This record gives sequence, C-alpha cells and structure tokens, in this order.
Amino acid sequence: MRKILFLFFILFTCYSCEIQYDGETRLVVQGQLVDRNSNPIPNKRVEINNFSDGTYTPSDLISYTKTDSEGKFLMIFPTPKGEDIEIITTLNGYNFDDDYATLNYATGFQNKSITALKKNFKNYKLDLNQVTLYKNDEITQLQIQLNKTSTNKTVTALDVQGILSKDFTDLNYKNENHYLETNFNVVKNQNVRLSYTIADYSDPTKVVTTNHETIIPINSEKVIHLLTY
Amino acid sequence: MKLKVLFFLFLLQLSYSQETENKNLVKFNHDIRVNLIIPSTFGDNFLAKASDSHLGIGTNFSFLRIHNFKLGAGYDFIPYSTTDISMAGNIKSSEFHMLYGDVSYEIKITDKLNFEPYFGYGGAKLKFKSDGRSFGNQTGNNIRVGLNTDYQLAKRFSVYFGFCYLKSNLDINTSPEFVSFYDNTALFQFNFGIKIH
Repeated sequence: MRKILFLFFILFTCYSCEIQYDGETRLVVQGQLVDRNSNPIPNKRVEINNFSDGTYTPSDLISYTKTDSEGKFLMIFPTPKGEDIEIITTLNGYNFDDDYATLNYATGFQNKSITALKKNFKNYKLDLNQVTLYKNDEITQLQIQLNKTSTNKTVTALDVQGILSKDFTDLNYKNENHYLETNFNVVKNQNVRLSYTIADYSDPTKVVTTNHETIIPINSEKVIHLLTY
Repeated sequence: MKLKVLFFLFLLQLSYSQETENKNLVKFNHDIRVNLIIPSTFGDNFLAKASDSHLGIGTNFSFLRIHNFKLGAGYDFIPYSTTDISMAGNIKSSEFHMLYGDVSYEIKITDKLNFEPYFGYGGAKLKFKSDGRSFGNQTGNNIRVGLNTDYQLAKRFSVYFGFCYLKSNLDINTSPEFVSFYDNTALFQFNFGIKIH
C-alpha cells in the first residue's frame, strides 16, 4: 500500500512539475536576423524554450523554425500558464539537421538568446524586429580591470558604448545588486567609449561622485583596460 | 459525459423499442449509426495549413421521430498530426472532438434505399497533445449539413455512406492578424459505416 501511495505521490509530483499550457491563447514571436551590414541571414535555426522557475526547472522546446530567405522568422505557440515562465528565444541555435563536419564555428555567426516573460508581449506578440548577429571571427573581448588605489573610492557605475555583441539579453533584467559588468564581447576594429562613475567617501558627510569617460581602441586581439581610481 | 448522454439515450430508446404500434405523432426511434470518417480540411486555417488529418470515427443515435423527421445526437472524433511546427508549436498531434444534436429527414427511394439529409449543431473541442501530455485545448461550436445514403441489407441492418460540410468556430486569443487562422475550421467529411435500426 505504501508503495502504491509513494507511486501516486511521485506521479503527482512529476505532473505538477510540468509546465501547463493554455491552448486558447497563442503567443507570437517574430523578427529578422541580419549581419553587421544589414544583410539578411537565411536558413538559421530559431527556437523557443519555456523554462519554469520550479525546483526542478522543467523546460519545453515549444517551437522552432528556420529563417527564410529574408532572414525573417515567425513562431506561434500555446501560452504557458503562469507569469513567471521564462520564454527564451535562441537565435542561430544548434540545428539537428546540421552536419558537424560542415560546421565552422570560427567563421560562423554567434548564438544569441533573448529571455522574455509574458508581460513583454504586446497584444500577444513579441516583435524582436532586426537582430544583428556577428560572425565569431568579428568578435573579441574587452575586459575592464578595476585597480583600486584608495579605500575611500569606489566605482558605482560602468558602461561601454560601441558595437557590442551580447550573447544573452534579458528583457526584464534589473541590476538590483548594482553588479558591475566588466567583461564585454565587442566587435573588432572600432573605438568604444567607456563611461564610469567614481564615488569618493573621503568626507563621510558628503559623498562626491564624478563621471568619467575614456575612449578604448579595439583591434583584433582581446583588450584588457586598467581602470585605476 | 458525452458517452453518458449517448448511453442514456440508448437505454431510453431500448425501453420503448418493444412498442411496435405507436400512433402518436412523436415516436421513439432507434437508429444507431457507427461510421468511419475521411476528413478533408480546407481553408486558410490552423487545421488545414499546419496539420494533416487522419481517419476518424463517428457515431450517431436518432431517438425521436416526427413523421419523417428524426431527432438525434452524435459524436465525431478526428485525429490530426502537426506538419508546421512554427504555426502549431512543437506539439505532435491535435484531436478534434465534436458532440452535436441533429435533425434529419428520411426520404424513401426504394424499399431498401433511403436518403437522409440532416442539419446539426453542437460543441467542438480541439485538444493538443504530445506523447500523451496535454498542451491545452480550444473549445467552440460546430454546425453541419450533410446527406446519408442508406442501403438496407437486413431487417434491422443497413450500410451507408454520406458526406457533410462542417464549420467550426473556436475561441482564441492571439495577435489580431492571426485570429482568423486559429478561430475556425472548415471540412468536408466523407462517412461510411453501418446503421442498426
């Protein structure tokens, strides 16, 4: 009897872990893949995975397609129930039809994931418009190394402006912990602008903040920029 | 629930089936049809463009007769498999269930041959499934117009074939430009089966 009850418990637990769907409500994701020269990228796999925030994080590959000759894609799929389900669109994901031997990751296009929630859909649609993918051999890294020389100073904000190639975008990202991102994927052969803010706590009664900017040249190799403050 | 209703009606007619001389205007009738369905879905809609239909099954029970008019109820089931994942989602199959009431009119051509045109209205449910797991469903209504041709082989046994046009409206919430793709289906059904009367 205990075994039967345990079996029922396991079955119920598994069922409750699954993402539930509303077949009468369908979400739409559409967009277009282009390269850095705005040329369409055809025949690339685009897929949508739904992730729940449950303990066992079940996920569903709820839709996939390939971009057409104009680089456009359109997917319509049943809506997951629950507001916290992450709907992740992966652009240029691994294609099961691809032959490993013919893949060339060095000269291929980057992968990119865009994470959304149902609240990001306007009238049931998420229009990603034009998404630029860069080839992997067009991308290099920029690393900002923080070189603290005074205990009274700290960097409170840091931003890089230029042509960046982010692999992940979360449409609901909130930097609540004020985490400073110091590693960036950037496109080669450009100048990027580094903006940062330094707070000076030398006078405990008055915090002095100063904004700074500097230009960093990016060539073909990884760049490590030392930010001394 | 659907099966219970049909079973109740079946028992109801059995309880009156012994009465052979009934001079009332309204008579209890006992026509039971079971048929295979060859569906042909068409139009610019989800089932026609993103799915392939397969052989379905249907049943119908006429339980009241007023002159040559017959009142009945029926149930149809048609399975579909997904062909366009981008429009349907990564879901292997859909099941189209229809429960309806209908009015038919019996036209006797010869001693053994009957024509029976009919009109029906009822509920529709489109269930989405993949590997036994539910991915939700759509509900709505359906209207049907059709004709059956019965050929009597024995006193209480006939074979028949027929066709009907069936239009369903389904509830949907989606981006406005895609509503018309998901809110309706249209199909021709070709039926062949047996009738016990």
